[in-house]
Amino acid sequence: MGMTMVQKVLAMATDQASVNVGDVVEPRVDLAMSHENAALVINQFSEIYKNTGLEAKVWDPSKIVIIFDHRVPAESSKTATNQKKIRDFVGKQGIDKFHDIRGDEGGICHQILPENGYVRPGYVVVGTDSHTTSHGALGAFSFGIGATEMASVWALGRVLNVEVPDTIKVIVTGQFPKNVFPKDLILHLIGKLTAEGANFKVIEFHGSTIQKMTTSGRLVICNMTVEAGATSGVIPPDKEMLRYLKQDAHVKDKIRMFSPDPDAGYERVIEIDASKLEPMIAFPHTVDNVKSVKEAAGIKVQQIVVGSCTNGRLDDLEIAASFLKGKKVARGTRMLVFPASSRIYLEALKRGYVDTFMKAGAMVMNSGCGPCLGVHQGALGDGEKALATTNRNFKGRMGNPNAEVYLCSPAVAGASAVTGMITDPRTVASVSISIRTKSKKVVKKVAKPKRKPVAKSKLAAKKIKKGRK
Amino acid sequence: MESRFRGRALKLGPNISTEQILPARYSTLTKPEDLVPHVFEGIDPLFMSRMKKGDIIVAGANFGCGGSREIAAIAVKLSGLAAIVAESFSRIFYRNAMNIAFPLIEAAGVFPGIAEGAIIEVDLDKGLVRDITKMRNFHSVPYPDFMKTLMQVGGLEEYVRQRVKKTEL
Repeated sequence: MGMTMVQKVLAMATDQASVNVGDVVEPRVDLAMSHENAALVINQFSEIYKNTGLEAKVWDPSKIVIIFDHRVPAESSKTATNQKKIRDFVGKQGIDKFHDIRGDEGGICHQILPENGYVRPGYVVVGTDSHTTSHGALGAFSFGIGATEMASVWALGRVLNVEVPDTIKVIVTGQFPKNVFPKDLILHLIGKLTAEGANFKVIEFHGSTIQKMTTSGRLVICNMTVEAGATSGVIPPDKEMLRYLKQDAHVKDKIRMFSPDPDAGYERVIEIDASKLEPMIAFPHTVDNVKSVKEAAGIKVQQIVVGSCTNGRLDDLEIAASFLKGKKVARGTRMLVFPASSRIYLEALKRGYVDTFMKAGAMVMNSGCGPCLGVHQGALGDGEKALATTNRNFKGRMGNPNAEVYLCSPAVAGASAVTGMITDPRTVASVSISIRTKSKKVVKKVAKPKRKPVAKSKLAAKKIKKGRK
Repeated sequence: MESRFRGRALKLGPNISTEQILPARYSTLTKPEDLVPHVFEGIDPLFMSRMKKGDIIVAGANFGCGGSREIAAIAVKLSGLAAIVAESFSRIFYRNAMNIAFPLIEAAGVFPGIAEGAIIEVDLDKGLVRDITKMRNFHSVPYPDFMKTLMQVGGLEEYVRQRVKKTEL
């Protein structure tokens, strides 16, 4: 029998021709990511070397990435002291891939990794964060681990005791209807699988909808596979992956392309017709409590959050802002926007999205995890409800067990900000705000010859479309 | 670590997330005396006041879902709980607990079958959870070999310490 994506990656990482589901292997690690919880990893790492007479040196500093995102800027002296400890460690160990609290290169780990080209197809990526599943969007086998396990990776350069997982194949075909997005697709899938339906398994995505999806959208769906319990989500390397890595992440070296075998064995196959999907909402307090937005319409919300490692990318900001252009965030509702990285923040500034948000009354915060994990920057009051483009709605998630979190796409968040209640984006108007300076210039240039007005506008539309890709 | 022990069952529901086990705002704490009072605060603020050393959690499916924070498993271990018996565990929490040699036992039927306050016995070698009050047995999923080794040596830290020493020789 042939091999799935993850079998192929694990075979490469263990120098074997093939591996079978259930085999226990010790793959080499290509990238090991931690955020502020590196403080605990450092503790466990030093413990390993205690009384051994050996120097505590990481196996390969070039393969370690540390990013501050969970508590930026520090919300307490305790966090600041931990961050200081990590900075010292990074300096001593010679870890260059370090993203401190900065407005030029900082951001959320699951955006920093892709946008800097740290992840490549075929890599084994581990991270001390459950949403490390995201990086399957770039053809890696990427999964979350705990601090002690990361300390073990820092020491040995391998993950111990990895049982080759079974894979669920998800084939998505059909075009998304207007106002339906990858977030709705993954919420639908989690609702179908349940919160533990993919426990210890990998979800491999296929189909024409996935092939046409941008890397930004792929990161959304792989990010949230963990909410169905999956070890990881993964997408076979393709043209879009190459385009993203070369154009957006500026990767210069050769990229390894490979595919799962056509006769690979899957635990099951799930087919989804994207054209039949609707905007979805995950109701409190589990992510699999998914219903159509129609069933949530009218629920008043006091806080709206756009951002996170799930939906804080440029296209997400654009979608949310398109509902706010020239409008106001409803009184009694506060809206917080967290761009996923400084790079995205800067681009959103250039494109006028930040202007749109702020004039509408939204607060645009610094890049980071923000209130998603309930530590700072936007806790909820008792009895309050939040609507968020984030990935978890567990009890207490936004810092208060007596509050509720509803999850949605950026379109639902944008539409609801104006009304102050959960709103079906299909029932309200949005304004196209893709008025990038570049596109504007294109339109003007084309307009100059003034020959055939029909052809002119067609050409202009084409160019704008091209520019948006 | 003893492979057979008894304790009182304390029941929690299905889908207990790491946020409920230890809310994120406490995840920078390191001292046991700071951490322990907050164990399961996210689901029951009075949990620690009703819990006795040696008690065993009996829970539904998908215990430990959510964030990868190992501090949740560490806090549970420090609290004095003896073990967690559940219908199933989420992957990262399962590995985190095993890495610090805290016993998790997966056994079908325990959640509907065992009542709050029942005295239960866990036999890791035989793979059994026994409800002493009702005299009923539940078969647990056996540990994979690596997990057995981890439980024997006292966790991943010691296991890796031995491996690092070996490689250096």
